[in-house]
Amino acid sequence: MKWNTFNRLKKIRNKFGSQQFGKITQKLLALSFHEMGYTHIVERGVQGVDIDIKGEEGKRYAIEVKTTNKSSINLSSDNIQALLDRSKDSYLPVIAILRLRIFENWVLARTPISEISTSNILIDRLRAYRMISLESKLEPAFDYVVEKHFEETLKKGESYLKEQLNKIGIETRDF
Amino acid sequence: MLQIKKIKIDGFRGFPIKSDTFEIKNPIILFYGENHQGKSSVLNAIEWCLYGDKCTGVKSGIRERKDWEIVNRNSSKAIVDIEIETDKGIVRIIRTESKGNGRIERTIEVVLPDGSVKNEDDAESEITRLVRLSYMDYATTIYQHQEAIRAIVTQKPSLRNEAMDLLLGLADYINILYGIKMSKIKDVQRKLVDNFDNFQEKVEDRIKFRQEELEKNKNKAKSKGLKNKELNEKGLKNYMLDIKKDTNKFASQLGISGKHIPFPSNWKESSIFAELIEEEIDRLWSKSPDIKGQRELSSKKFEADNLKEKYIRQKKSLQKQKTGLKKFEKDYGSLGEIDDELKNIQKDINDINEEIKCISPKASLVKEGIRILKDASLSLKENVCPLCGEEVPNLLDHLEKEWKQKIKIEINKLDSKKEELEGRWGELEDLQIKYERIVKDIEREEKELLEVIKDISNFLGKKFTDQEDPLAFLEKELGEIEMNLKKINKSIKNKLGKINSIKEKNNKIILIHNILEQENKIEDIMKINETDEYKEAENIRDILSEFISDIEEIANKVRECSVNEAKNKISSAEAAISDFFMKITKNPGIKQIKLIVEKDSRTGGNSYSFLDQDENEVTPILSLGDFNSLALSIFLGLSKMDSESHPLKFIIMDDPSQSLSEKQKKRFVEVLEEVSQSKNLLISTMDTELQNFLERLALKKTIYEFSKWTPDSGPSINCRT
Repeated sequence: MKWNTFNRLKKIRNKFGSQQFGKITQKLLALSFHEMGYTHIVERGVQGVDIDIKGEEGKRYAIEVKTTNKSSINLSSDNIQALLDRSKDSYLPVIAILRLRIFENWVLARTPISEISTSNILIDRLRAYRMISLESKLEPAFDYVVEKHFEETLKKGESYLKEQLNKIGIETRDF
Repeated sequence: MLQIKKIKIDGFRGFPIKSDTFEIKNPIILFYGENHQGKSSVLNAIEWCLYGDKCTGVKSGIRERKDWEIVNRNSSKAIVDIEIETDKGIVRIIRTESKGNGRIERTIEVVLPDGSVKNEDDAESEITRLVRLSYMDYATTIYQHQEAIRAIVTQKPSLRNEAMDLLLGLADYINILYGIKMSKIKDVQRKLVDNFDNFQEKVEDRIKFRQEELEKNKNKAKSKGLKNKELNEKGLKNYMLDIKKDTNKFASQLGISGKHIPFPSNWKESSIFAELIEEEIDRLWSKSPDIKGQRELSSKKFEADNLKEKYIRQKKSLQKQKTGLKKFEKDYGSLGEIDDELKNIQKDINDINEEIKCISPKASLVKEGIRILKDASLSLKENVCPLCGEEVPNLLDHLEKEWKQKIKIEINKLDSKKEELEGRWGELEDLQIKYERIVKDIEREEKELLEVIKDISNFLGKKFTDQEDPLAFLEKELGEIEMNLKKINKSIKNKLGKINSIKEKNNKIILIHNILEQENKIEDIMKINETDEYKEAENIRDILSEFISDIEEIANKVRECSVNEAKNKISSAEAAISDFFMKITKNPGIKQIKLIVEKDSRTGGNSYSFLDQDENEVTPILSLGDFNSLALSIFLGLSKMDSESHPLKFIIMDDPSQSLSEKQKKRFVEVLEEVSQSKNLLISTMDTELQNFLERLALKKTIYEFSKWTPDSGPSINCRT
């Protein structure tokens, strides 16, 4: 991620705290997928997998979003169950990790869910399953989305991004 | 099927020098004797001959084999020669190991039924083809080790699981998993991540520091009147164009041709440009007519001021001397008057002298005599009066007495007057000298004044008449100089304003350049992740992650294979194991033993359970003897099961009756009798009960009794059938 993106995200996190920052980042990611051309996007605030996306080529991804500033993430059994549930509907389970650190980018890992243990997972451990092509498209889109929505997000927080998602027709579910 | 027919041992472990041969003709071969009599060495000799290095050291999977010595300490060479009966005839395998000169030499030779001989690698290959059994399988299904039994009887599940794995011939899988664990590859990844973390932290700190510096410089720029929109390359270029124009204009104003200053092709060269501008401005200024004029006038003024000061000082000094002379004359009279007085005093003194001479001609002589006597009495003849010529004792006293009594009183008056006159004479002489000195001083001051006037004359280029005052002319000239200097200073002040304006702009160029340079440095740091080195490091992270993923997949597959193989083996041998166990133990509470193997979710290894007919775990109710029976049952069950997978028609048991009760031993021998129908049994024991039970069997058997073992001669062996 660009230095400016990194700085902007840091400002958002400093203002809203880690938990809210996670939700904001999730919505920014959903907007980025829209920017990349994905049309069928569902963003969930509470239950289930965080984001569903479907591309024109027909590929479907169920994405569990994790943001952290540490070198590892916690994956709960609920997270894994949610991904397994979506995989039954032909969605490829993906864990999207953003470590808020300079030079770090989104890691989109098509993890073999059944082999993942529900505990503290070193992010680097998931690099074996990176979707490099998707990541390389996501990187500029995410930079753009953060730049575009930074000011208003910093002012209004998650609700502003929800409005933006709804405005462009992205379904958001908070239940 | 393969059957061992003969074993010949020489220099191997418990057999030092003599060669012993063991014939294997009957279904049961018993090696009986106390501990340390060489029984186990016979059994070890068979496996060493078949497997060589594979059955020695830690890689054998048997802890006791660490640092195992093959060659007997009283021998230099171990030879084991076994004959195996095959379908095609007798095959001889001869393995040797010799030690000497710090080197170990090994040989292996196989003599086939047709008489052909194979050596070294070919011989090893021939043995593998013949036996068709890995060492690990041999060690678990052919050769029942005491260690395996000891591990099985332990109550600790983790050790029992490990022993069961070994008993089932899964040591290779265990070793692979152990190797993966010990490679600590995840620690390597953690370390790599930590290194990346440290590096990223350093980069973030560096950028933060540079940004703070940048912010300081921007604030400084703002305080110097620069606007935000000017703090970029465009702003810098505008300032450089502006300053170049100003410099050229300034040069033409001064009437000096300006130097060519190349315009920078990029912002990085702007600092050099600023330096050149600074140099050019200094050069132009130093050559400007105003500065030249100012320099000249200042120098002239300095000179005029000096002359003026000198003139005034000299004048004052001369005046002072003249005033001094006047005062002197007033106080002491003129030089003529002093001279006249001196002459008069001289005359008066002469008169007094004449008068004294008249008063006593002798007086002066006496006085002179006294003076001479006092000054130089030694040069005169002692005590001879210079007046009377007579010898007088104490002449000086005599003369002084004469002087006091006859002359002194008269002369004293005259002397006193004379002294007075002589004092005055001295005073006048001093005044005379003082007067002359003052006059000389005046003359010198006048001369010096003339020199100053001459300097002023030279400075002004004018000769002065006596009526003209040089100071007036000098002051007039100074006035003119000061007026011109004022004019020139005013002009310089105007031009300095221009210079300062150019220099101020130049400083702004340097400020913008510094800001751009800092921004550039920050950008450079931020581009670290675009460098080949960083990309390579990122790539290594991916590769390592993939590698670990592969390793984990391998580990999972190995665990899967391990559990599957264990399940298959147990499944094939389960009935026999249960049957043997029931027969040996006759435990009334247990009607069936089921062996269950599962993957341990915690360790990832195999976990074994021993259940009874009601699916209850039996280990909590098993005695030590029961455990031993279970281990023997598993071994015998597996060896029975394997009779179809390999051609070895014998099994070896080393001290199998540990912890068995007498009844259990009896029943165990019954089981052995059953097993001996399909396999020859080579049993080593020190257990007399077991020996007795075996001897009572109505089967053909050979009993080798071992005793009286000594380091030099080895065991004494008694054979009976």
